[in-house]
Amino acid sequence: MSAYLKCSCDHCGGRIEYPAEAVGAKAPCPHCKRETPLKLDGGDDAGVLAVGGKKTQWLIGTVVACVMAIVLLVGAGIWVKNRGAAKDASGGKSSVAANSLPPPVVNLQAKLELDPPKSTVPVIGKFQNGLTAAQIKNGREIIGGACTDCHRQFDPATYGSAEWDRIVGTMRGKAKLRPKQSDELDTFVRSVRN
Amino acid sequence: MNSLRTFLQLGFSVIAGQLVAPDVFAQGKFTATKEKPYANSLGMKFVPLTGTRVLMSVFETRVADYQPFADSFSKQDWAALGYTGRASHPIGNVSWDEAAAYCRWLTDKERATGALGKKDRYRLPTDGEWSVAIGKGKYPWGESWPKMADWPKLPGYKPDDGDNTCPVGSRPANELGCHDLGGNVFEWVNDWYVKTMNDAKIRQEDKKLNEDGGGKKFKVMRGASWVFWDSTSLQNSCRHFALPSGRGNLYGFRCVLDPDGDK
Repeated sequence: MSAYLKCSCDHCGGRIEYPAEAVGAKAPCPHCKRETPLKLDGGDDAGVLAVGGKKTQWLIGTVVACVMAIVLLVGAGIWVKNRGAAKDASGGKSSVAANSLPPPVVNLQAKLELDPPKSTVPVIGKFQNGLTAAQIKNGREIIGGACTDCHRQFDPATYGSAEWDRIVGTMRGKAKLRPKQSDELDTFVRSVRN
Repeated sequence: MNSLRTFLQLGFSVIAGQLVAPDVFAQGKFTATKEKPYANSLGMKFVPLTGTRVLMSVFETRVADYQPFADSFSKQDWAALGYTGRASHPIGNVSWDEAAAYCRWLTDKERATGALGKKDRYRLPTDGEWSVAIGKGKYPWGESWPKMADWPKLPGYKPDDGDNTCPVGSRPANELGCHDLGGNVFEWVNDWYVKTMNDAKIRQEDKKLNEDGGGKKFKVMRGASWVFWDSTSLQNSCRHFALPSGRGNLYGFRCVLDPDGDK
């Protein structure tokens, strides 16, 4: 890449930018079109601008700034992570760690509170609630397939009958279930829910 | 001088603790390792839960373990109910109240025979104990969500087609020796559900998990069940919940043996 210099036209005073190797030569001024010597200008804005020109200088400057910013961000990230891990290891509360891990082991030493005994008579239902293997297979494929195309799986037992009626009714259209599939899902969910 | 003595005693106990094999559990009459679990009168096997005083059942409570409990109230026609050949499947359809009652029944039964001391007992694990059992990984098998082709290698988180549960221990145990922590049936634990047990991201995906009823309404279930194999439910940190009286085909449990638990 060439270095570029600047000088003033002897006739009109206009600024001229020219390759460094042309210094001392004569060339037509781009402003007044008259021939003028390309000389080293002693003004404040004279001299070598940059290797490859002003755009290149800006580009290199920008890249260097970006690299420095990235290095700073990565460094800060590592520092925050290490600080969080150290806090976690010492029993401190770290919101970052708490969001991804089970509760800290320190809870093990908390006093165990057992609920008072309750008189309970166990209820034994049919194995698989009487569903056939085919019904389970089909229902599970729908709840684990069409349903989870859009959202995570939800525990059918967490919702009441009316809620499930509404959910299945709404989702039937969204998941583009055929009537048979919709019935299979309904049977499966109701059975799982008891 | 006293503080120096205490310091030396503490240092000695720490060094001694390091010299003793850490996997051997011995408290009262119970001695167990991962390789040689403690077996009770029903053949339930228990391994030490590292960092705690309890032993945890390596399996979810099986149909065979639960039958004597149910029969002690009224004799069931197990064949008519479809349980023939399912003795080693985990028992499902169990409410929290029933699971807790089972632990009390088993405690009384074994205290009566002398297998348990007066202060030893079976109970449901706490949420913290269950967390120790599953470990700190993201999923029961590690950190990454597997490709479909790798599912068969995983320890039982997607059941065989057409069946909702599989016999306990069908797949390999984890490092502590426990099977099926992330599959087969959900497992009741002792704790009441508080919404902050689930992180904000999980609660964002399932807003139902924000409804903890004030913290004394629902009991926590850990693990996943045969019907769940999505990447959220299978996270070790995901908690489900239900009323203590609630029952579902997906709900089961496992016990811990707590030596001198009344102390």
